[in-house]
Amino acid sequence: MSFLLECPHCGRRPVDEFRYQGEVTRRPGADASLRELTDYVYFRDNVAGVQREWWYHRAGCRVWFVAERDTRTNEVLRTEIPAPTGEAAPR
Amino acid sequence: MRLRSQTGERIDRTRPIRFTYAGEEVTGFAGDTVGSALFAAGRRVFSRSFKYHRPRGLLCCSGRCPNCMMTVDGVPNVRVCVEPLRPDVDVRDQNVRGSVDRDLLGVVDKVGGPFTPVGFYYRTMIRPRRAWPLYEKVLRNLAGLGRVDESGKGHGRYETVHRRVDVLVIGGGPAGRAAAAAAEGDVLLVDDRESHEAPYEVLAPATALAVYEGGLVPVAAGHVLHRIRADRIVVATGALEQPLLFAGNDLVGVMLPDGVRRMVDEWAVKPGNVAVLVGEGAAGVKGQLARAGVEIAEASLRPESLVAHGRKGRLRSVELDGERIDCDLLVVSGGLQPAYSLLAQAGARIEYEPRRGIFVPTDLPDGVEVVGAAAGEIEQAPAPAVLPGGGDKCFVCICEDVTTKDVKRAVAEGFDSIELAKRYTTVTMGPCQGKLCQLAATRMLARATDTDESAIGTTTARPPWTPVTLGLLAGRHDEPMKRTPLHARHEALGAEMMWTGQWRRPFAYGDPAAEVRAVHESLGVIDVSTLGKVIVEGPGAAELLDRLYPNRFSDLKQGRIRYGVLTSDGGRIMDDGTVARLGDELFYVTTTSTGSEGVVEWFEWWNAIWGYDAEIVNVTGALAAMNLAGPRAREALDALTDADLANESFKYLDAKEIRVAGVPCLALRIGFVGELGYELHCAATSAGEVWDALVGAGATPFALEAQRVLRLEKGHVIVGQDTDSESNLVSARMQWTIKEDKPDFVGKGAVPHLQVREKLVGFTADVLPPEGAQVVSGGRIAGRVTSARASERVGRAVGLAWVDPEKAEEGATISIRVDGALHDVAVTLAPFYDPEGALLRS
Amino acid sequence: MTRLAFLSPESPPLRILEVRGGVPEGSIPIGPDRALVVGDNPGNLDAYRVYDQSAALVAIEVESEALLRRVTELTDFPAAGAILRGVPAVVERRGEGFRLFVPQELSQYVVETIDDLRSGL
Repeated sequence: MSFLLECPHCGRRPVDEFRYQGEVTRRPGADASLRELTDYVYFRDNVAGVQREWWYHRAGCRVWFVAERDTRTNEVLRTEIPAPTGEAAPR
Repeated sequence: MRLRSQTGERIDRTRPIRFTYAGEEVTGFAGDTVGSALFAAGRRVFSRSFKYHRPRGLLCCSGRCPNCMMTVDGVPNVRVCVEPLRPDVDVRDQNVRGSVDRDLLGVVDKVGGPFTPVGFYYRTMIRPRRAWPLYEKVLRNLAGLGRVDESGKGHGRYETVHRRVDVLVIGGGPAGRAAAAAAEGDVLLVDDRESHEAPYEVLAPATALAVYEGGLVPVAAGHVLHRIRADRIVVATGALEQPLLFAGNDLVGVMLPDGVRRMVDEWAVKPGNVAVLVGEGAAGVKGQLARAGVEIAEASLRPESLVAHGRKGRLRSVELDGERIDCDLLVVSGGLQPAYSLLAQAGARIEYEPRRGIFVPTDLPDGVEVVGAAAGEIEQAPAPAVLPGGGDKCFVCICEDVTTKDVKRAVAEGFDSIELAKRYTTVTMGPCQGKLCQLAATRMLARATDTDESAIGTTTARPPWTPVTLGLLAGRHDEPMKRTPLHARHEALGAEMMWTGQWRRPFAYGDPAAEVRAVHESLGVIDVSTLGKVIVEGPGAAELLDRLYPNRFSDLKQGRIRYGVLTSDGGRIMDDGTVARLGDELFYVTTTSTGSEGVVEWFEWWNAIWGYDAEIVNVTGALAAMNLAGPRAREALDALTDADLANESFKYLDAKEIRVAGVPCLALRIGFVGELGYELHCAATSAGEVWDALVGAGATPFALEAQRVLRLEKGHVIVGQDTDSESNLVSARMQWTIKEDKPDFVGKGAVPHLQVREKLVGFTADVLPPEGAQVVSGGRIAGRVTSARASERVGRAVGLAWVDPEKAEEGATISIRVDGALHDVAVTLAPFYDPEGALLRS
Repeated sequence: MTRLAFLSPESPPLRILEVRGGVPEGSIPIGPDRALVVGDNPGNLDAYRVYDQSAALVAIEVESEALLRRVTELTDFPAAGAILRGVPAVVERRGEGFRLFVPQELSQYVVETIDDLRSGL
């Protein structure tokens, strides 16, 4: 894998400077049922299409950002640093 | 035989070069390749083929086919037809028993044919099964290419250079040069032959190996690998001359037109005496043959049939449309085929164009272009699939010795798609990687399946396009090693070192049992600089920590320390450490050594989501840490500091900033190893001073092995050693850390659902079980031992194990399997040594 | 003792401060709101949160572009990114050459590797 990923701060860098954290998920509340918790911990949508996912610029500026990547072509449409959601469940 | 001077020849006749071939001395000229020098000296058989050990000679003279591969200066599989001649180079045959002229393994060709059809190894030599190692050994020695130097020393240095350019042009023919000259910005042209004067930069001889995502093109130039990233890649790789399929098409003396061209024009070598030309491309070398004084016995553009006859593998005559003609050189051309592989790798679609009988690249992705013959700028009629005539073997793939019969048989057995046929016959899988055989294979398959080339298609093109040494891809031999600031002192003490993750740490200084004794009886010091250390500071720091951990830290008093364990949202234990409060908004967190980066990332991720006003600062490298432990700890430290170390002033689990030997330190009174102790954290640059002062005060250095014994005597868990990715806080008997009244923390949702299928307990035994030993209950495996050591202090072996939950009671008995026998051992929940922790609190 | 005195070496070879909350004038940006302030005249940093990383990082000189090309793929300086085999570093131009800030625990590895790469030029 050698594709270039656009870090929102540093610009285009080789993908091995980053760590991939997976799909952006919705964290259930503290009173989640076992089913909701299992879903959140283990299951992913795994779309064949544009996926919102977390990346961390491990070797560089250490920023956490979200990318929209088409999993069919590996094309990254955009990257952004999401605003913190505070107390609400993250999206 | 050398011809008289040719216009534009590459050889310099004033500079003879001597070298050795098969132990004999040979002479060539500067500008020769090893191959041209050998041919000029009379050599005709250059190698023996992969499977049948058939004699093979020069065919392409362009570094594409496998026929001229020899071992040069110990490096196997060198294509001597393009290998520049150097003085004193040592050249040897490979894949032969005897010599290339008299290869004893040539018997395989005579006898083996019927017994070694395509895929024979899937159907024969299966029984008796125990004989397979013998079969394999024999087979391995019968086929194959060069031998690798098993000493692993490699062949010199390999370098890697990174380059970023605006435009990369691959191929220095007319189309490539024109594209480079017209391009704007930082332009680089690479060519696998020689350099030329140009207004742009040229890298040659250099071979582009692949096109990867992100415009990455690795280019091999001798011992240097250029990793080039280009915004625009222009592929100008030209077209490849294709051979023809006919019986006897691999005889020594059959050549492609480019081979003849180079022999005469570049190296002034006479390629033969009497020639027959077949195909349009072959007609193009009439000029060279005339200059070389070669008699052209016959030339045919599109014969109906063709068979080549030879003796001992060397061409003697051909049968052209039924007429027999004596000759020693047969120049054949199956037309040109655009060299599309790099484009296919880049994602272009490869389409068959029947009018000219070629595959052409289309639908190029952004940033990739093609010019010249590689784009299909060729005019020709399609070449015939197979020329009939019967007789000897007709090779589709000379690299792998795959015949037309093999391809037909593969289809008959059901392997009728190009990908299946390729895997079954190994066609296109050899050193040429389809350059000379992909088109022929597709054509053959189309005929054998009664379809056409469009339906069959081509196989997936994969890097590298040309064989490349692993050494070049690997680059330098190096391995990042993390060293603590005290590394030199450990080495000076003669420590036995070990790896923990990327860290290099001391395992022991010679006698771990003595180190353990020193800590129990007097005083020891251990370098724990590898611990993860994180500052969490800001108005939101306390709430952030409360939310990250199951523990509560917001009520931690200033100057106090609390043990913390991190869990995932699934309730699994991830890491552990300590949290010390140094101020209202200032916390100092430690983590395990191998987990430190992961924990910092984890903290930063959650805070990116939650947005607390808190800085998370990784100070793992900024600080060194040493653990001073033993009954004499207070006394020794007292002599090095002005701080009040009395137990009432500096209690167990207190954190204080003190100076030790004049160096500002953060002292944490914690007790991983079970004796009175102080963990001193100071700036990494001052580590040596502090260590020396402690050792000078009588502390015995102790290392990881001693630490393991000491912590096991206290039943202290090491996350990652005694826990795994499924362990949770309840099963690890750490549920006291969970403060469920907190509104939210990572893992809170999982708490009511945590499964307790096993529990982590301590045990003592008279036998020392190995790590991983099974705990057996009622005939089934009920758990395993995660750690165990012999303890001199306790007088028995001590350890930790996962057991059935009902067994997690003081005094219960469990059975552990050691060396096949079951041993009953006693479960202990309290620490084996100083269970009340009196020594820690003293 | 001053705040976090145990973190701060008294006389380091080079004073390197990590500041959070912005990028001061003349500093090396290493993130959207992080920077390294190098040297003995940091200026007024009251508006930022400051952490002394003088002991955490080692500065290494790479004298030529040709040598740098063997060390990293990075262009466009100053940059925080990977050098050699995944070592996180901060790289800035300095005259004809470059200065790299690398983690001290990997500094021996980096220095030895760069010395060896220099010999292969």
